[in-house]
Amino acid sequence: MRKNFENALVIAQKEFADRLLSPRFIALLLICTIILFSFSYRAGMGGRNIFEKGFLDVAQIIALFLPMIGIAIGFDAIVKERKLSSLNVLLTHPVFRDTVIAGKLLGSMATLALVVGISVVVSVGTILVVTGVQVTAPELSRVLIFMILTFLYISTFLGIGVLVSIFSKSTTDSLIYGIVIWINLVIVFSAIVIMVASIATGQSYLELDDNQHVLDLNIKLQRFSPIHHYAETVTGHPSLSWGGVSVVRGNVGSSGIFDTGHTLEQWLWEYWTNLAVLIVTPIILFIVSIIIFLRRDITM
Amino acid sequence: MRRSFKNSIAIAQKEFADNLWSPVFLALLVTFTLIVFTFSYRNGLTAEHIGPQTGNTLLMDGFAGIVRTMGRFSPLIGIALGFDAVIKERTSGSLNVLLTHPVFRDNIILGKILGSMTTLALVIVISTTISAGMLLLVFAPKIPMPSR
Repeated sequence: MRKNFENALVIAQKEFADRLLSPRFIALLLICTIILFSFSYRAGMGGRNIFEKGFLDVAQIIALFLPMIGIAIGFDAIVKERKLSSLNVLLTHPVFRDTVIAGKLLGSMATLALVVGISVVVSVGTILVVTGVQVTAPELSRVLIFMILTFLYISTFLGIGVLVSIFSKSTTDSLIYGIVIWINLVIVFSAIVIMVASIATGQSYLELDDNQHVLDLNIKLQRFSPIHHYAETVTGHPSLSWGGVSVVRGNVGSSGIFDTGHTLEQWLWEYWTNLAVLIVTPIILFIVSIIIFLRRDITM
Repeated sequence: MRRSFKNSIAIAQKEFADNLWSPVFLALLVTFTLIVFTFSYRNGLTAEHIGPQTGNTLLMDGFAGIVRTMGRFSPLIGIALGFDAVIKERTSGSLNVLLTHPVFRDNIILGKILGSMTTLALVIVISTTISAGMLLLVFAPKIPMPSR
């Protein structure tokens, strides 16, 4: 058991080093950092305080574009090794399949943690520096929680990437499936949901006195995407996708993690269901990947 | 000349058929059509709600919004169709085998481009037809024509 774990760590280390030094990954990371920096700078120059609803634009960019990094990290984890036949060679050594995939997942998650760390420091740091808000320990702890939330959210997409990579026949297939999932589940998810809700209920959400059913169904359907749960916990809005209808209904409490008008306890009480989904989804995806990989025929 | 053009057409046909039946392409096609459909439905709703504004027919206002969506998402389809056209053949070694036949490099690349462009045209036609048809069916009866 001990030995197995050591083996997994070795594979994780190799995976981490491979990712970190590949030009593809560095290019993605750079683009992402530049996008985040420019949007944060703009938000900061707008003069809005991050702890008073000044984070919505940047949160949207993170929610929309960071999942792509998660998929980019995960998409060739297994299929690359299988294609190069290095998986067969690897399995002639005294390591088992579960050790291999556990190592892969660990290494990818370490890379992901690094990316999320850089992105959060760049975005929040830029806003804090530009607006010159004073930061004390309670606010920093909120930034830390925001970092963990982002990590969980992107882990979901890492899990999807690895799962797709187990099924796919080639790396290009795997990447395109990943992109398709990303677009449908993140970028235009809310737009699709409001379209489906409008057709199903026959109401137009624009008729303000007669849109009860369509908005209710809209909110229910949105729970199927991780971006809804991330958006709720971070900003308090139900949706951050493009073209969605994000109507906050009923009596709303806090507006997300950066709302210092409410304590963390109130935040946790209000959003614990979203938080639970964010935590459980990546775990389920990882377990499913491991189980499927253990039973998969790996000879090409 | 005539001969090599025929060869190009054969390669284009093969490329088109390959694209058409690959699950990857189908996934992209469905996604793109879904996106265009979704946004045109929204535009239809908006047009129905706001009423005639610019002197256009409302239907044309609905269509105008599709342009932006197409502009945002269609480059993805283009890149996805083109990006492995040559490298796939090269890494799988089939390019060398292909060149032992009496075809030339220019025939091959021409055929590849023709085939991919046909596929692209098909995607655009399918998605536009579905969205336009939906707009006409669902919203046209409800929308009054502007008085000229």
